[in-house]
Amino acid sequence: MNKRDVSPEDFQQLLNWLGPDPQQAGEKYEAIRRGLTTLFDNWHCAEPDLLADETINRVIIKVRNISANYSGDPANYFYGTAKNVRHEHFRRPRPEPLVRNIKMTATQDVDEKERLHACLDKCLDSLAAVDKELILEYYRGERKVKIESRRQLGERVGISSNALRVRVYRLRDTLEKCISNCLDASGRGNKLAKTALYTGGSH
Amino acid sequence: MNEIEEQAVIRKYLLGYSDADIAESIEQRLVGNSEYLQEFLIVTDELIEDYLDGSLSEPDVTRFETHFLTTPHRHRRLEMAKALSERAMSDVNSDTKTTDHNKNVARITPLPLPTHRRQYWQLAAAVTVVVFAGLIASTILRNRSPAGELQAELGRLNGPGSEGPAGPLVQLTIAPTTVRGLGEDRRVVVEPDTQTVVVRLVLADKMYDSYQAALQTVEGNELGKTPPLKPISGDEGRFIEVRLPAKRLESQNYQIKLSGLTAPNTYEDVRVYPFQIIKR
Repeated sequence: MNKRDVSPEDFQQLLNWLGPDPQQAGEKYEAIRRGLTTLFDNWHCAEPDLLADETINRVIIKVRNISANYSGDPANYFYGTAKNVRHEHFRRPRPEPLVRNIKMTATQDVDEKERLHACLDKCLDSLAAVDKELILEYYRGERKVKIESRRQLGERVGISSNALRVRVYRLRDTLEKCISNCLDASGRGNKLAKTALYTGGSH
Repeated sequence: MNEIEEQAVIRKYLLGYSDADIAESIEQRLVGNSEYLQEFLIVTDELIEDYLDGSLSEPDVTRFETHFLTTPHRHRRLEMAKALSERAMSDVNSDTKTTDHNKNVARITPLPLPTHRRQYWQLAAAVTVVVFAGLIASTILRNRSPAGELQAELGRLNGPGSEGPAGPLVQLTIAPTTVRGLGEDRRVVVEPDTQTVVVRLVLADKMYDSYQAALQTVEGNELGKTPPLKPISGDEGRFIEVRLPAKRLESQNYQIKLSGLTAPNTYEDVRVYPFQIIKR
């Protein structure tokens, strides 16, 4: 089954299973999808997004039959299904890498590095000025002084060190999405897709 | 379990140290528990940052590179983290080309060659080319294989009377630590324009009048040897300076096996100095 086989009704059925409140169910769905993507990444799968979608599609097929009698957190069912998807993924033959060191080549490429820095600058500029300064300040300084400088930064902003970690993480998350889009638009996405194909994920 | 312990558990999982039960428990929480997922991703970012800062222990660096850095997605995150860190530092010191805040890079000192020395070398090289053109041509033909070319360059860079390398170079000093993972930084970042990697091997124990350095893979396969080298005295104590041709090196782990001369044409093993080349 692929994504085209999932109808809006099927998807709605899934959301109903995840919760009675549409907004909360939507948030739960997003959390599950992101968790699955992270999971497949941890499992050294080269295309975690695709496998997360495959997992979700399999659950959607089953949800009509299981939702009535299922007890417990639906996330556990996704996790069990993900393990099956992983098992099948690694049993599947994958193309022999054509260029085994292509990932090194990609990271070494000076043009790529320049493109990355250009996208970073562009995406930093798209942040609010205060957020841009916050994230640059957070990553500034030598390792040995970072802890203290971050504590001081938290005090200046008026939040705890842990709250600062979370805030910076969210800014980074926003930046990473922006940079990914920027790189994809400028052609790098194709190269990384090739890398994913050639490296094929390791067990 | 408090926050610090929780973060330590996630780190161990990311580096592949966790047993199956703990891994299962972490993975189950990742799906559907958005707060835990967020903490997991923050710890992941912090692990990448520690790797770039050079604050991971040697075993953890190995784990990071062999267990963690295995997917294109994680390579991309590493690249982004590095770019962000460089961008943050460039605001502080816009004149600094390299990220000298980064411990992995901080120990590598670019050594601009004095202008007069560079001119002398260029002149000497030109004369050599003219006078010994035939000899060089035959040498090149003999040494056409990559291994032969590396050996030839090791001889040229480290041979008696060598004026030293031309062009940009980077330097790495390796202390003779006997225990691995003492925070010793043994990585050298080679930029595209770098021509020579200068490795200083700090000596300890018994001293010899002359040494020979063999460049090897970590498996001990020999790639080339230097001519006899004399110890030099410096701030770090006595050391042997080995010059490596940057273009012949790959992004990988190497080691230099140092041998001391005990009798004519007889060397005994002194020490092995591992290091890592990272080419940009």
